[in-house]
Parts: sequence; structure tokens; C-alpha cells
Amino acid sequence: MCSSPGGLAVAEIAARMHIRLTPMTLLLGELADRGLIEHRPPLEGTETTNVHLLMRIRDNLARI
Amino acid sequence: MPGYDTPAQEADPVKILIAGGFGVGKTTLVETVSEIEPLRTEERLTSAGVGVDDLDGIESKAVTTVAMDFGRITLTDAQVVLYLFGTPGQERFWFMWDDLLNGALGAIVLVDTRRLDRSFPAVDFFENRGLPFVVAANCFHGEQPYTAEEIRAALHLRDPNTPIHLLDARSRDDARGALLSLLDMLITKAGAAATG
Repeated sequence: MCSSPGGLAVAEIAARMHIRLTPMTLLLGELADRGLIEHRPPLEGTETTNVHLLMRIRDNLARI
Repeated sequence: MPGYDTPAQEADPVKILIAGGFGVGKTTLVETVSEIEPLRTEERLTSAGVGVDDLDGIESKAVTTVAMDFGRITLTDAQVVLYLFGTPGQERFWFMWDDLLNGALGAIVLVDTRRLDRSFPAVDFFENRGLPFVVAANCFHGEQPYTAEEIRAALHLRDPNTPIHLLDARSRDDARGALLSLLDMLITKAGAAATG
């Protein structure tokens, strides 16, 4: 489902596998505990308010 | 703090919420800009709390399944994957779902001017949680009998400078415009915070 180096949001994996969010989160947590997958947490508040990141997003969005 | 041109190792996921009452056109808006067909993720809620799964043989009370439709836009140059999450249509449930806000940049509150009250809960929710949002009024059948100022007044927005967009949720240009407006607001706030 997730080919390197990209990844997928938990919600996207859950939706594609037709598994509800909470059991999917538990399942992925188990896999992460066993070192079978890597999990990248959501960006922190300081990152989501980084003006450079926001400007990059804005510029890219304007071109889609 | 990373600078403008600092490359990220891998794409970071970011999230924008598309909120508003039942039937205002959230999924349509998501579908219009998403690079994938909207996906649906579900969560089962009981009256006792959020995300409790019933085990075999144990009866659960008032179990409801809420669904969120979401889409994705890969922004390669920004090295970001933007997810657009449509909040569940049943207002009385998603208030409990603070996880929705986790890492969200901001929101678009979509309103149907024929049923403005359906979007009041979304406005209250974001104002109380301090999540920045812009308002978009979906023009059904090309009609929009109200001006942006009339909509702004009717919504009793705390921030009088909240952008109000009149759009057609099926128009890619309109949808992108609302997203850009949100980003512009976030950039202004981030810039003010940095220099304030």
C-alpha cells in the first residue's frame, strides 16, 4: 500500500482498506511497535504556522 | 526554522478542514480540487464517547457511524501532501472530535445561504478552538441572492475581516480561490506573529 519513500495518511489507508479509523490506528500502532512501519506524526503548531512553509504551499496551490 | 528554499526530506502531510452543515456541498468542493476521487473514512461513536468499538456479545447504546469524505492534493514543490477533510455532516457528533483539529492549518466553512443556520455550529466550533477559517457561500443553481456583507452580518463572525467567498463548489477555480484565500490569511497571521 505504501511504497517507499512516500507514505499515506492513516485515514487514507483506513478508507482504502475499508477499516474504521480507530481499529486502523490500533493496528498501525501495533505494526509500529514491532518496527514494521514508520510513523510520521502530524506537524506541530510551530511548524504549521511557519510562514515559509505556508508561502510554499500557497505558491504551489496557485499553480495546480 | 526552515527557510523558504530549504528542501524537506520527504513530503509532510498537512490538513485543511472543509466544514459546514449537512448538504452544503463539502464533498463536492473536495472532489473538485482533489487529485483522487474522494475517499471516505468512518468512525463509530457511541453515546458514551468517541471511537469505542463494541466487542462481540456486549451491547452498545446509541451507536452511530460518522463518515468523513476527504481528498488529497500533492504539492510537490512545497514538499507537502495536502489533505482536505470534510467534517461529518451530523453536527452533534463531530464536536467531540478534537483530533480533527490536530495539525490542521485552518478551515473553509461552506454555507448554504438558504440554510445559514446549518453552518453556525461549524463557525462556533472553530472560533472557540481558535482555528482560522474563511467562509464560502455555495451558489446553488448559479443563484446567490445575498452579498458577502449580508452573509458576514448574518453569521455574527467574531473576526470582521474574515474573507467571504461566493462560489460554485463545482468550479476548480472557485475552490482553489477559497483555499488560496485561507492560505493568505494564515500567512498574514504567521507574519504578524513573527514580527509582533
